[in-house]
Amino acid sequence: MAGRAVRLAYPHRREALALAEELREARSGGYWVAVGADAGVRRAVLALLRRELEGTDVLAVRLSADEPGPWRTLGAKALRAKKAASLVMVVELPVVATGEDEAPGRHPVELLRRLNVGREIAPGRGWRVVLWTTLGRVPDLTEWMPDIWAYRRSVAWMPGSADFVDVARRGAVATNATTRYRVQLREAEGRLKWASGATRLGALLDAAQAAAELGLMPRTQRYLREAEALVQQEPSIGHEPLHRTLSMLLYFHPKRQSAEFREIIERYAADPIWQSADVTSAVVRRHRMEADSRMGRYAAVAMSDPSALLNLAGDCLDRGRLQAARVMESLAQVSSASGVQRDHAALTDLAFMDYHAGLIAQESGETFDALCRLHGAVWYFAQMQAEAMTSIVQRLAVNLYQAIGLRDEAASLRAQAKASGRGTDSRSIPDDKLLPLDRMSRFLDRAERAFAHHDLPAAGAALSVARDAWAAGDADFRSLYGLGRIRRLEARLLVTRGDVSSALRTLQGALASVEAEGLIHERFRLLVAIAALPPAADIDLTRYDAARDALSIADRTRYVEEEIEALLRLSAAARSLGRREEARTHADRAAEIRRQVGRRPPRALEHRP
Amino acid sequence: MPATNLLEAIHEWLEPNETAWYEGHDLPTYEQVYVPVERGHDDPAERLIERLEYSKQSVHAFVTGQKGAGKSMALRRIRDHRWTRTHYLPVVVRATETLPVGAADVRLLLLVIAGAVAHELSKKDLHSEQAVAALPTALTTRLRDWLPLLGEKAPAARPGHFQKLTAQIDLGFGKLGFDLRTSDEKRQQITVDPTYNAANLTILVNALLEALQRLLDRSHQPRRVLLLVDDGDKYASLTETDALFIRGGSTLLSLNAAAVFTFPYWLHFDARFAAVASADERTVLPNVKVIAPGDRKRVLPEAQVFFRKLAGKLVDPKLLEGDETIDEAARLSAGIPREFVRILKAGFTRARELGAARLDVKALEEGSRRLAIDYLTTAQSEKIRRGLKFVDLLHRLDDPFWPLLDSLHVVEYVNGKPWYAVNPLIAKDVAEWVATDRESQRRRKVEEGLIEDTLAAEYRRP
Repeated sequence: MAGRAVRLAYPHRREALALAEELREARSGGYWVAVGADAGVRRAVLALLRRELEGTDVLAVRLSADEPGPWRTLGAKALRAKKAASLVMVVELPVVATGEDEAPGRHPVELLRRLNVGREIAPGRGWRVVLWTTLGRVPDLTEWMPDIWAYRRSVAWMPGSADFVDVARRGAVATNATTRYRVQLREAEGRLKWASGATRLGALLDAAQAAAELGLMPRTQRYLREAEALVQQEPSIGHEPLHRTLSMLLYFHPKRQSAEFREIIERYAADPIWQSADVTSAVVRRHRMEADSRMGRYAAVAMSDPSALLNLAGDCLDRGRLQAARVMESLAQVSSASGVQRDHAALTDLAFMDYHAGLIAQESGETFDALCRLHGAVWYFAQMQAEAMTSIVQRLAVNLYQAIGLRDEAASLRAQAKASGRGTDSRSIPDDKLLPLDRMSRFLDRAERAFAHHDLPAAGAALSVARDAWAAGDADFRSLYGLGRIRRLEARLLVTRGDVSSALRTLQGALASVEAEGLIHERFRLLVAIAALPPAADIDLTRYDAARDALSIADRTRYVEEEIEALLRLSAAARSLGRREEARTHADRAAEIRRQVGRRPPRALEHRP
Repeated sequence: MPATNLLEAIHEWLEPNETAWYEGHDLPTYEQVYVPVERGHDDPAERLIERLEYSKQSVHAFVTGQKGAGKSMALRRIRDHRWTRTHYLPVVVRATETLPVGAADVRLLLLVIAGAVAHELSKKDLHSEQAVAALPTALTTRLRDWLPLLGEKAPAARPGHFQKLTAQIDLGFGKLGFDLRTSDEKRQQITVDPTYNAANLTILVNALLEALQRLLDRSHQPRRVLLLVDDGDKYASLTETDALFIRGGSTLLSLNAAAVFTFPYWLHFDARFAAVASADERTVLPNVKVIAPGDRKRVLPEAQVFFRKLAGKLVDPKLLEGDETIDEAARLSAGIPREFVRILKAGFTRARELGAARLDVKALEEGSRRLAIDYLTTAQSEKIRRGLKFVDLLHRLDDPFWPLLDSLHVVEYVNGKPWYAVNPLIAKDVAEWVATDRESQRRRKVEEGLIEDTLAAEYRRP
């Protein structure tokens, strides 16, 4: 384990210190598991253990993949250790290739089995054995050394980007589809020599898709431009190919980031022919969503098209409709897998599936899973040379890394992400022309600004407009993020009038809706708002419980800023209840975390519908 | 005295116990933490002891149960039971100490058993002159014949030679045991050498057992031999299970002594094994009955009694905020004591972080949520997820998903008929996955009555 040790990031340091404490306090030998693929982190943890476990021999052991007697090797290492000291062995489990090109490896089965056979050696001899694995290979342990896994004292989770990328690659499909796309391109180009009308459009689209999958961008764009022209000349060709054309245009059109292109899309959107179908553009989506279509009906129409379903999942996520988003994502998976296995699904679908699954995981508080899925999406988009989407997803991952305190990972990925292109901008649109969701968002911003400047009448007026705009949305798909923001602001206004009880009821009502949907971050914000209500004897216990729940959420999501905020609220609530020592404990811990992670980063993760 | 503060609880008393056989003094001892399941017909280990007590013939029993259900503990209970110690000489064979997982074969297992019996046979306190003199010559000759195969010279046959003979047999098996443990080549050599065929080895083991039994019959405390073969359940691969318990089952049953073997849990559901060992010969250790299928939130009274007693042996009651904390830990553990201990530890760790003086339900839930990460992270693969959803949907296990029981992603409950559920720590997550899939089926216009079948087929697809 030679090499330079890195400085441990806060979340890794916290896990490593907990591991050190367990090892120090353990009365007997046994097994601990440490998870993290980064060799630098491993070295740093080893150094930390050596520092923290004074008087203990901490040995690093690297077993070879074909080790015939791993316990003999460990025994030999133990013989060389200081006899008087208790012994900790940090055992790096080796990895072997799985035989496929560049495919992530696995731990050698035989080695794990041999270790499992001797599972009583370590406890019997008083060795504290830390088995070091990676996030993607933890399942190898449950499968091949189930007894040691069952005996584990604890698991220290210290994954970094190497782990998330590794897991993403495991789920990703190797590009053995290349051959298939070459055949498809050759065959489609053959058809183009003679085809006309709908057949020609089909051939153009097949050729464009295959060329895109093979990364042949100029050819993709040439075929798409021709398809676009054909569609304009003969709109009667049929809906399905048209949808695909438009969908693909959005990703591969040479002018996809220009205002001119958006106009083209807007023109398509205005055409009645699109009213019963889905297209991918954010502009079109928003128009159609807000104009008149219920998402339920919309979903029924889009049923068979994975990309349409995934777009719907995105729309649902924008509104905090997590359960509906999950259903759409699930439908997209079924749809994509029906008739063909996932291995043969289009890269575009796979990319968007991972992208949306990542967003859903993030909103559900499954941060590790979210990072794995987002890296999966990055990998697919990169394969497709879809630079804009690659950068968008990379930036999402950057925010997540930042949120969980892995700042080096965030900085490294930020350097890879390209600057974002111009997105749709509604600032130039007058208030009365805005669609309800945008109107709500704009007026909530104004209300919050007015409140911050103590202009309560203006805040109340803006809030009223926002509330109306929220109510104007489809009843089944009104934004839950919007609801949360509205209720929080209402509660603050009620507090200024001294009506704390009503403020509490308002927040609790929103909390129930958000809880039912499983929106964990919005739930956190509402809980913090409850905990932040002014102290009053009749609500102090509720404030305390809310802060404790918020802390539990932070523990689950691993968001560092959430943890600090929850601790500070909990400290204040404990003080209100007269629990001074507890209040000090929480405040000290918040201060310690702040010291370790540095100043507060910008609020990149606040959802602003 | 159990833990009196949070730190003691976390670091001294709530360590998931590595093994029921552990005799060290740095962990709570078996006697300190053992809680008998309520006596009666529902306790299979008690039933087994009763069978050993009343049967006139040599009882052969195969014992299984989920990880942490107490297989080794059951064997240890049998060994340490007052009645057993009076009427039997227990010979404990911990197979994996000699025979690596992945290399098991019934011939090798017979050699391991022979080694353990030979060791007992070599103990001098059984070698009274009268007992040794009464041994048939044919029996000692048979044992002498095996010595060259163990690489040992047979001692000259003269008065007093028996002690030397048994010592050499023990030495020979000791060396062989080392080779079996460390040398693939030696193991392979034995499995291809016709001298070591199962019939010959059965004769050898039975000769050793007979000699031991005859010595015991003439000792100051006549007893019968009882073989307790632990770790058989670790040989869970298809090949090994087939070699040891399907093809080798009848060989194990032909040993001339009472014997209890542990075997892999999944094999209990395999029809081929039913042909080898009758239902009477098989014992399944259920987890303590914790919940009933109709009401999964309410912990059953018998589990309350059991786990409150267990908790009482581990931590001072003043560290626990009421019995409902213990009940919740019992529910989350699905009745598996080792998991119960782990969950309590996670709860206490959380309580300590919060600066609390005792553990309440809320801290227990928060701590156990962290443990859930272990299970959710190891359920990354699509196959495991499908298996979990299948179990959540139908409360049963099918062929491809049996390993989920071993990894404790799935747990078995027994209330009359066994039924299966996702580990309570992740049950809510999996239920959400299934709810999503149900809704997606509705959106696809699948009739309500067909949704379950459709999903089951989807989850089970290869």
